[in-house]
Amino acid sequence: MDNPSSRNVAKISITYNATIPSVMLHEQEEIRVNMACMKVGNTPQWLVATVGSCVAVCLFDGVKKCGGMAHIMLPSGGKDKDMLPYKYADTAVPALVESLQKMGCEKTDLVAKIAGGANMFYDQKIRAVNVGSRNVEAVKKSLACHDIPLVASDVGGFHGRRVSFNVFTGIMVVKSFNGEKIL
Amino acid sequence: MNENSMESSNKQGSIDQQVSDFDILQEIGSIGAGNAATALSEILQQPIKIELPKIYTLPPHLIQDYYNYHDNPVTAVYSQLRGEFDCDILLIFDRDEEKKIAALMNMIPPEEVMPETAASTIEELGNMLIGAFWSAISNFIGVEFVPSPPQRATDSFDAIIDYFLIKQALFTSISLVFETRFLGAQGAGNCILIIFLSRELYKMLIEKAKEWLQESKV
Repeated sequence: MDNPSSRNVAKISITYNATIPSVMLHEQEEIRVNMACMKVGNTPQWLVATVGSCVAVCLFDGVKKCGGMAHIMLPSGGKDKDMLPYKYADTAVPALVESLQKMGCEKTDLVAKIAGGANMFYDQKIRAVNVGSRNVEAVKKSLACHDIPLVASDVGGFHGRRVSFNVFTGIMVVKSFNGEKIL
Repeated sequence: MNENSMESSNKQGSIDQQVSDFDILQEIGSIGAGNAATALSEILQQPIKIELPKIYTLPPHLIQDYYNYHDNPVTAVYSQLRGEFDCDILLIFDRDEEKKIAALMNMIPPEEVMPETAASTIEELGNMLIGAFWSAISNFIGVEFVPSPPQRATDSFDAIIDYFLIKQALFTSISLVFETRFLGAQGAGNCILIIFLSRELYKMLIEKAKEWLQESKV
């Protein structure tokens, strides 16, 4: 894990359904990925982010069995980019790819799953820009630029999502008040 | 004080001035919070305590972690101050609180509260509290505020607040936040009022309060 803020660590018991590999039916570490942060790993553990209009971008290498998640807030930093590459879609994707490459992943083996980009409230001022869908579009564009196929997504709508991503299996579980999806 | 001047004042170490301004803001906020607590107490017919308001500054992306409520289900009533002072006001209740409050306000047992009733009741309560808060401040400083009609959402804390943090991140690198908590003495009425202050409103509140202090001395 190369992100400093890994203090929200808890143990969870995974009991979703029979389609989940047995390796997941054990207590596994759950690590929260905060806004504008990223985490990568190659052991059976869950990276978790709760997103509304933000987007959780997950990359997975099925050969090396490792993956990572970035919790992005905005499409692009424009001229005012600060030193937070994981805050923006256009910088988070390459930074996440680079971190996974440092762990031995091949860029050509990476696939992406994304979740989030909801529109939680009506707001005249930012409705015009609809930041949730702009985030999603920016992530898709950035993935396409890096030739990373987007294999699953659960985006848009008007509700928040709790996104759990297993870095060892590549399974993403998206929970919301509407139910649960396994991607 | 614009964002840049706030950041540069931090860098230059003029902390005393900012602390003093924050004290003023805290006092103004207490007036609003007191009025809102009185309204809440009258509506729920029970004593309501208020915590001393807090003013803090943080980069928007760190605010979720500051609260550390993450996946807790909450109901939020949201309003916006319109016009030049544009700022967001959030009243956040635990999800269970919605039902308790609706039961008290409609004088029915909690198990008989329908979801639609709970939703409209909490929206109405939010409207009254937010109105009471701004009305007290408006009377004190002599500036009229126009809050937008309230909107309600139920979701996890992080999902709700991320909408506002993104909005903050679009316009500033440091959020200025006013927060106060209401505590119901008999197990209902607990909520948090969070205001993302715009620089314009911050500046105006401080100026008006200082003018008022000057006039009081004279």
